[in-house]
Amino acid sequence: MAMQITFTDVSADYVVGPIRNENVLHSINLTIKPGTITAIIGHTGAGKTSLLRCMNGLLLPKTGQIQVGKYQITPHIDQRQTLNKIRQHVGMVFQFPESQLFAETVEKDICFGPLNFGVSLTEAQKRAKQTLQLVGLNQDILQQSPFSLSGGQKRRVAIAGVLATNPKVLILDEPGAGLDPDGKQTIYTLLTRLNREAGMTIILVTHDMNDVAQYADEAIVMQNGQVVSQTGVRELFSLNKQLEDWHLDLPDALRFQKRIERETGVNLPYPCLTVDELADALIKAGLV
Amino acid sequence: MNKLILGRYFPGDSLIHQLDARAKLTSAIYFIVILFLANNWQTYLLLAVFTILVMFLTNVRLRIYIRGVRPLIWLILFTVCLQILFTSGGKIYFSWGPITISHFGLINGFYIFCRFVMIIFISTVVTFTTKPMDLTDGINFLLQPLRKLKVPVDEFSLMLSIALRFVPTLLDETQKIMDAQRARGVVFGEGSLVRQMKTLVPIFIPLFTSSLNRSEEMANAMEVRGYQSGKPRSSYRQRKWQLKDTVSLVIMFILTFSLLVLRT
Ligand SMILES: Nc1ncnc2c1ncn2[C@@H]1O[C@H](COP(=O)(O)OP(=O)(O)OP(=O)(O)O)[C@@H](O)[C@H]1O
Ligand SMILES: [Mg+2]
Repeated sequence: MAMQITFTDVSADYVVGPIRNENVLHSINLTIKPGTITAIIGHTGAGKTSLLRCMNGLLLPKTGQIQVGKYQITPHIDQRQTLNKIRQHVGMVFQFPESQLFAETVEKDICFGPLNFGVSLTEAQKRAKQTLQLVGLNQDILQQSPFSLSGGQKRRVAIAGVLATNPKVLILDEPGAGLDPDGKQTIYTLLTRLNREAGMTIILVTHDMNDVAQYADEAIVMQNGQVVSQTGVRELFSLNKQLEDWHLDLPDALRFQKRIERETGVNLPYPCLTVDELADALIKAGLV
Repeated sequence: MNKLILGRYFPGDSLIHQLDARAKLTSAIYFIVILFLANNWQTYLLLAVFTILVMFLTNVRLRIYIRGVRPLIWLILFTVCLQILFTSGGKIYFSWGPITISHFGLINGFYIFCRFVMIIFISTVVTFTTKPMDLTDGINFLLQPLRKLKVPVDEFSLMLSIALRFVPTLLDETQKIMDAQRARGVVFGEGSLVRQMKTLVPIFIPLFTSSLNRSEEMANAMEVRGYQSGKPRSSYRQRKWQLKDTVSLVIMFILTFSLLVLRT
């Protein structure tokens, strides 16, 4: 069963003790189609993380409702068990997820999620092996302490810990932050594979427009707690004027294309999002 | 977690905010001492009026003060109950073995209650209106005499200010880790006590690791910048004693004097 996530008129506040941060999200309406990779972009403080937290009930809406598959999150939802069901299907990888590791061994840490959701120990251990392989780590670290690993390895173990719960939707908050280009590449390749092969819906926050251009199908732009645009990625990067208003960069390939167009006076037939596309277009246009 | 009010600073520009930390600390401690001079309704009324006036001057809403009392309410009620049950004298309303509820007991209980609440209110006035850094500065200053006894006062106050500085960071981090573990299926606050205790492990271990890492980094950063314990340090912030501060101390003396006159 595919899970569709729909926000209807959602607004949300943060209340920290006496301090109330009003309307961190307001009048959010959006639908995330199953099986897509959706990128959420926007400036710092735009409410991206808050939006993600709404999707698995960590932040409850103040008004409106969120439909996650057949489950519904409403402002006064009072059943921890329903939320827990949702969390079982919607996996969430936080920013710097390596800070959530706690168990003595990598295996135990990966098994933690599945066991919480009622999976048997043998099954959980089987999944630990599988997901570790999936994230590209060697089986022999299973019995090591997660604290002895490198930063990139820790992050992958943490992602494995979420994947082991077999989510249908995977949410990631800046999965590439603080990793070297190689580590980042590995993670994005993994995400693409999960999406293409397992049909997993992937929602991620990123600040890097190259990642958006290269990996995402859809893009949601947020500004001051509101969704200002939800379009296909190609469409997004053709909205020249708005991109400027939102202070969003262009992907490198597209920026380079614009420069070529300016300097040669030749207009390529379509906006190119990746280097490969740009190369093809240049060949077709006879510029190289 | 986020309901923690005690020890929080509320930015503002009220008269109380402007007072020097040393004046506020001294006055608060002094107030708690003279609280024990009160022994009849006139004196309690005077102190209550004073407390309310000070609270009003801080421009922080009453509701927030009341929320600060809430975590301690059981301790207060327990003490009040003991006071009521084991004081005798005056008219007896109820008696069973050593337990009596008497007129004196009730009045005493009420006084104790007021005393507790006033102590909490006055100390929260100080923490609400003083930046943690100023507060530790003030404490450092007041503890200076202890240096004669070879107590490492400066180190203590540095530790205190670092600890205070990291309270919000730690709370933030706790929140994040709790969220992360919730997303992995932990349900907090449900099930048997043992089960609930077990859910604390996945919070505390990451919290400890990150705190230890952070403290190590911090120690290194301090050392690299030439920090050495035991050496005299100069201060970036200047403490300025103003006329208002003197006035506040004078008011405290007037309060004492009035108490001495009114008490029986
Ligand atoms: N725990 C919190 N308590 C109170 N306010 C918060 C909290 N977390 C976020 N906010 C507020 O909510 C708003 C949106 O924050 P959010 O973290 O969703 O932004 P973001 O788009 O993820 O930013 P970034 O790109 O920096 O991660 C900000 O104005 C922030 O001040
Ligand atoms: Mg964020």
